Amino acid sequence: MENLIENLKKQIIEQLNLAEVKPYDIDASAPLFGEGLGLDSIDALELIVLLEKNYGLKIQEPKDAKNIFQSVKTLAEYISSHKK
Amino acid sequence: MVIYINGTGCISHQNTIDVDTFLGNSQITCQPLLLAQEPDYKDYVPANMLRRMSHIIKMGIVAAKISLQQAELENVDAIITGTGLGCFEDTDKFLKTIIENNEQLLTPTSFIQSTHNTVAGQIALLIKCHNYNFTYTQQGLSFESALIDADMFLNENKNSNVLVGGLDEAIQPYYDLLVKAGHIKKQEDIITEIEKNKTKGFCLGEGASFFVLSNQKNKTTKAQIKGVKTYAAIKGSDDLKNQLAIFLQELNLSINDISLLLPGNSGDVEDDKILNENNKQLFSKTDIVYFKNLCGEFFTASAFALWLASTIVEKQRIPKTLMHNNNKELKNILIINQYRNTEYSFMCVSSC
Repeated sequence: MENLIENLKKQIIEQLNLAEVKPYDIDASAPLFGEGLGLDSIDALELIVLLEKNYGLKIQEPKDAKNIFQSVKTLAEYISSHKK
Repeated sequence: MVIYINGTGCISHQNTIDVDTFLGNSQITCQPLLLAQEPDYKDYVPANMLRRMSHIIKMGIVAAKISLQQAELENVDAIITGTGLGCFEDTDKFLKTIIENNEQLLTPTSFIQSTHNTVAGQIALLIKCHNYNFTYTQQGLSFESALIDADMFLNENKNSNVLVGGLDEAIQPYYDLLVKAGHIKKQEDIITEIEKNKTKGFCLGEGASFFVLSNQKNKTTKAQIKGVKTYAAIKGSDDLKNQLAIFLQELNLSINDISLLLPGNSGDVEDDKILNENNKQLFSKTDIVYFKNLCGEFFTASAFALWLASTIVEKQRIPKTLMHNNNKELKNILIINQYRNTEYSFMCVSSC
């Protein structure tokens, strides 16, 4: 799980072009949206693409997205429990 | 047409941000690709906004902000831009992703920012301008088209301020295609005196030049634009001469009234043929400053020329690196631009 979290941090930084942010700046449990990294709705779409492209996962129920994208940790948990 | 230039901002291959030294350290670079000297964008745009901005958006926003600062304005009544290729980097990125991912998994940022009018939109978002917003994409006449629209807007809306800009970016895939097509000058053929070229091809440039225009003269006014005219096709040297005579007549000017000529020679021996004949026949007694050896050739290089002309008129000084021993009053500057010897334009900038 630790490796997955570290990889996710790097992928998020690259995908969202967070040039000023380093992986160690991201608190895995902190909220991704609003507070924490302060991401917005366009970033949410970028993360959906990241999930599908890098892990082959599609979010079937849109209402689940809010919980999945709560933090890097919740995202990692979703990936490890759904990855084939 | 009487339009006052109340603020300017320019990012180009030269250090055009530092207006005080005004091209004091300018150099004619003998390279086939003349990229812009970029400022530290964080000085102008919040870091969280910068991350979604491509090169051309950053250049455009900073040039627009500098021009607004100079005009002492925070907002305008219209934003009008001209660009030959728009946000080409993101267009290229988006199209490549479509092919590579078999039309699947497309990211939104490149799509949003791949449209030609993104820069005008981003400026509007940044300064919270909900007014008229338009972008012209007319190849080598894109910037002039924006200027003509600004003139019409100012005629209909007195006491208004319009932000007008011309911008294009040089990206590697585009440069590579131009090299393949034989349009880029070979390194060994590049010379500093652009008008003396005997070979084909040009040096590709890029940049963003913005202007705050108004029909009201005020304490920040630098110069005035007396006239702008565009020609989608010029049939030869005689045609250019005739059209120029009509243009000057409309402005109640003659050749003798032109203090300085800025011709848009690109360095391509074929494309510059008409301009060279014109320069020799009509302007043998006029001072001439070439500008595309400073900024390179691109669809909106005429916006750089307008920045150069308005700054020369404002400062009443031609940078020493461009011309020695000029002590004459610089009243009227004529810009004659051409793009690939098909699209021509005239712009007349005067002191006020």
